[in-house]
Amino acid sequence: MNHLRLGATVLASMMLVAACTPAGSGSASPSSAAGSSAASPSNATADIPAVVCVGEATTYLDWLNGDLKPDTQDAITEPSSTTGDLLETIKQRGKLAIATDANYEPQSFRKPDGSWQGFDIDVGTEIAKRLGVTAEFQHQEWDIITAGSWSGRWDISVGSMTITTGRKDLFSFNQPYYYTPAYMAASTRSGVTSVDQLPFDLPSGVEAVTRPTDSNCVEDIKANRPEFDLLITSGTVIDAAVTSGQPIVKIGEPIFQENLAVAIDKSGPTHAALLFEIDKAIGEMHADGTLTTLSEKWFEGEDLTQDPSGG
Amino acid sequence: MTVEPSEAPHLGEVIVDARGIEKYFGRNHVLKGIDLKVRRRQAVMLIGRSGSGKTTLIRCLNFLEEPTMGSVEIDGLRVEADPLHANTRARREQIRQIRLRTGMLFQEFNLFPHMSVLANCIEAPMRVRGVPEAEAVATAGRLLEKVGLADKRDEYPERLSGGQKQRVAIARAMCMEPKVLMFDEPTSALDPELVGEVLTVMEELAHEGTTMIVVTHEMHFAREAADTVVYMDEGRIIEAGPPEQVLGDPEDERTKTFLHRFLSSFADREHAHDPGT
Amino acid sequence: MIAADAPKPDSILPQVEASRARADALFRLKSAGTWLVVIGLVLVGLWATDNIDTAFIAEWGPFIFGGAGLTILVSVVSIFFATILALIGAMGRLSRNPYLNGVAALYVSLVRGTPLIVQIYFIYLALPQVGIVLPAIPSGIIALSFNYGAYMTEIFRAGIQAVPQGQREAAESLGMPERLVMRRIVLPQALRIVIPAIGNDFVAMLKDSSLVSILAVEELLFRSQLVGRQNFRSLETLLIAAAIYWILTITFSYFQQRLERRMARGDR
Ligand SMILES: Nc1ncnc2c1ncn2[C@@H]1O[C@H](COP(=O)(O)OP(=O)(O)OP(=O)(O)O)[C@@H](O)[C@H]1O
Ligand SMILES: [Mg+2]
Repeated sequence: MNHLRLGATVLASMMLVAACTPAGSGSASPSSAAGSSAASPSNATADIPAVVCVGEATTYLDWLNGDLKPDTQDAITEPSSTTGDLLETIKQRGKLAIATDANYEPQSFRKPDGSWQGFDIDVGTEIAKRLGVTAEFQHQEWDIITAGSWSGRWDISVGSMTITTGRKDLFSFNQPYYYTPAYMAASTRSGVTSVDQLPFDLPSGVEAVTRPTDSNCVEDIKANRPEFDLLITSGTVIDAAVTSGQPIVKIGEPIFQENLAVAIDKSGPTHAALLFEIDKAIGEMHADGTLTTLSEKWFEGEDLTQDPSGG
Repeated sequence: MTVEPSEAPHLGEVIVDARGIEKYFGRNHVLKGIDLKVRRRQAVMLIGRSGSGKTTLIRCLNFLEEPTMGSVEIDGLRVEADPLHANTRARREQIRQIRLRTGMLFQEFNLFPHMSVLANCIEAPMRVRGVPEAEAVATAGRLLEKVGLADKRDEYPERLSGGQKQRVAIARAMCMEPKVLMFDEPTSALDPELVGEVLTVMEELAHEGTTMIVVTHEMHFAREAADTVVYMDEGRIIEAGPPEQVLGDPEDERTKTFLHRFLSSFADREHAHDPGT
Repeated sequence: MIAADAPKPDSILPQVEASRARADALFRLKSAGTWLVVIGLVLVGLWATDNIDTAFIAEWGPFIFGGAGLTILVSVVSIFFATILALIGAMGRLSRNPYLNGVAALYVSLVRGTPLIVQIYFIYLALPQVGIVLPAIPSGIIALSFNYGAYMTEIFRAGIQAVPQGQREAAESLGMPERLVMRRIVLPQALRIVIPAIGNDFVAMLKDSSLVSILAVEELLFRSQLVGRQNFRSLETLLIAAAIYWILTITFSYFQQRLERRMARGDR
C-alpha cells in the first residue's frame, strides 16, 4: 500500500541522513577534494549532497528511480449506450466531485476565505459546466489520488496528472489539457545555477527523498535544512515559488515533458460515456481557446496547452 | 442439631426452613450441617465467637453466598444448593424470589449514596414490585416515620449519622414487605452512642412480631428482644433456646465459656448500650 | 517549647494568615510571570529569525481558526461514542459470558496494540475493500471512537469495580435483577468515579483529533498545513494551530476542574 511506502521512504530518508551526516562533515573531505580537483579545477563544482527531493507519488520520483514511462491516452470512442454509466449518476446528482491536491500553486490552491483557485480549478469548473453540472472540489493528498481505488468518494481527478504507462493500469485518461516541462531547481544557498555544476550523474548518481508534497521540498530548503539542495517538480510550480520569493532557482533544461490529463478510476463504475464526454469537452476547450486563455491567466502569460511534440 | 423454636403460642407457621447447610470456602469448612427453622413473628438471635460462621449462615439464607450443600426454604419456596450449576437463568430467578421474601441489613448499611433517603426506599418497590409511585412514597413515609426519620426523606446518605443510616436501611428493607428480616451485626460499625437508637427500633420491631434473624454481640438486646437465642461454634449450632435459658443457664460447656468470656470483657459496654436508658 | 514572653498564639493569628496569603499571592504572581516571560522570549526569538509575518498571520489566521469548529465537533462526537463503546466494552470485560468477554478483551487488546494512525487509515482505506465506503469525517470519528473506547473500557471497568461490593449485595438483597442493579445502582456510581478520567481523555482527544487531518478532514491541523505548504510558511501556520489547540485544551481543562470540584463538594 502507498502508505507503507511512505513509511519506508521516511525511514529510508532518515537512515540516509544518518549515513550522510558524518560523510559530509568529516571523512568525505579527502576523497571529495581529490574527486573534485580531478573533475574540474575550477570552483564551479558544487559540494552538495547527492540527494534530490520530490513529492510523494510523483512522476518526478519515477524519473529519479529510472522507471518513468511517459505515455499518451488510449483511443476514446463514443459508447453505444450511457445507461448505468457514471455520467448518468453525475447528471442525476447535478454535481461533479473533483479531487485535487491543493498544495500546487498555481494549479490548485486556496484563498484565505477557504475558496479554491488555480488553473486546475478553472479547468475542472469549465468541464463541469460543459457537462451541465456544477463542480465540487475536495482536497485529497496526491499519493491517495494516484493510488487509485477511490471507492467512489469522488468522480474524477483534475489535478495535472501525468499520463504514464503505470498509471494507465489504474486510470482512464483523457487527452491532455496542457503540457508542462519538469525542471530541476536548486537552493540559492548552494550557488548552483546550472546542471553542469553537479558533481554527479542524473538520475543514476543521486538518491531520492520524498516529502508529502512538492512544496515541502521548497520549505525544507527555506528552513535551511541540510538534507538536500535539489528538487524536481513542474516548471510552473518552480516559477510560482520563485515569484513568491522562495530561495530556489530553476536550473538546466526541461528534464522531461508531462502530458497532463483528467483521470478516472478504472476500479470504479462504468465510465466510457463520462470519459467520452469529458474528452469532447476538452477538445472543444482546446479548439475555442478557453484553455489557452486560462493558461495565460495562471502561468504568467505562457500558453502551455499546445502539445510540444506536435501531435 | 435442629433448632426447634420454642412452642410459644404467639408464633405462626414456619417461614424459614434451612436444612443441612454446608459451606466450604475452598477447603475451609465453615458451616457443618446447619438446620434452622424460624416461625412467623419469631425473633432469632445468632451469637457465637468471631469466625464461627454466623455471617456466612445468614448470607447463605438469601444466597449472597452459595451453600455447598443443603437447601433453604423461605415462605414455601425451596431452593437447593447447587454450586456446580449455580448460574442458569432459571436459578437466578429462583434466588431472586428468595431475596424478595427476605430483607437483609448489613454492618456497613450500604445505602445508595447517589439517591436521597426517599429514593433509596422507593427504588426497589417501584422498579421490582411495580408499586405505583404514590403508594411507594406513602409506604416509605410511614416506615421512615416508624424509624424516626420522616424529616430526613430528602437528605442524601452522606449527610446522615451511622445510626440514622442503619435506620434508613431498615425502612428500605421493610418497604419490600419481606417475610423475614436478617441483620448482620447491624450496630457493630456504629459509634457507641449511636447503637441505642438502632437497637430501640429493632426491639420495637421484634415486639410487634416482625420475623427476624439477628447476628449480634449485644447480649442485653438479645435477652430483651429474642424469642430464641442460637449459639454457634465452629460452623455448628451448639445450643438453641429461649434467651433466659441459653444466656442465663447454658447447657453446653462451650456456650458457658463463650458467655463467661464475653460478658466479662463486654460488661461495661453492655450497660452503656442499654436501649432502655 | 513556647518562650514565656512569646505573644499569645491567637493574637498573632491574623498576622500569620495575612503573611501566608501574601506569600501565596506572590507565588502565583511569580509563577504567572514566568509564563509570560518564557512565552514572550519564545515569541521574540521567533521574531528575531525574521520568519514571522504578522500580515500573513492576520490574513490566514481566520481560515485556520475556522478548522477549530471541526476539531471540536470531531472530538465531542468521538468522545460521546467512545463513552458508549467503553460502557459496552466494560460490560463485556466484566461479563461471565466467555464470548462477550472474549470479544471485549480482543477489542481492547487490538486497539491498544496498534497505532491510532494505522486505525485511521484502516477505517478509511480498508473498509471500502469490503464495500463500506465512509466519507472522511465519519471515518475519522469512528477511528477515534474505537481507539478511545478501548482505553476508556479499562477506565470504566476499573470504575465499575471500584463501586463497593456491598452496593451490589444490598441491591440484590432487595430482589433487584442483575441488569437493574447495574443500571440503577452500579453504573451511576461508577460514572461519578470515571468522569474526571473522561475529562482527561477529552482533552487528549482534542489533540489526537489532529490525526484525522491525514484523511483531508479540514480541521485545525489540516488547514494549518494546507496554508503552510501552499505559502511555504508552515512555521507560522503550525504556531497558529498550536496556539489554538493550547487555548482549547486550557479552556476545557478549566471547565473540567470546576466540574470535578463541584462533584467533590456536592451530593450527587
Ligand atoms: N468470602 C470468604 N472467603 C473465604 N473465607 C471466608 C469468606 N467469608 C468468610 N470466610 C471464613 O469463614 C469463616 C466464618 O466467617 P464468618 O464471617 O461467617 O464468621 P462470623 O461468625 O460472622 O464472625 P464475626 O463475628 O467475626 O463476624 C471464617 O473462618 C472466615 O475466615
Ligand atoms: Mg460476621
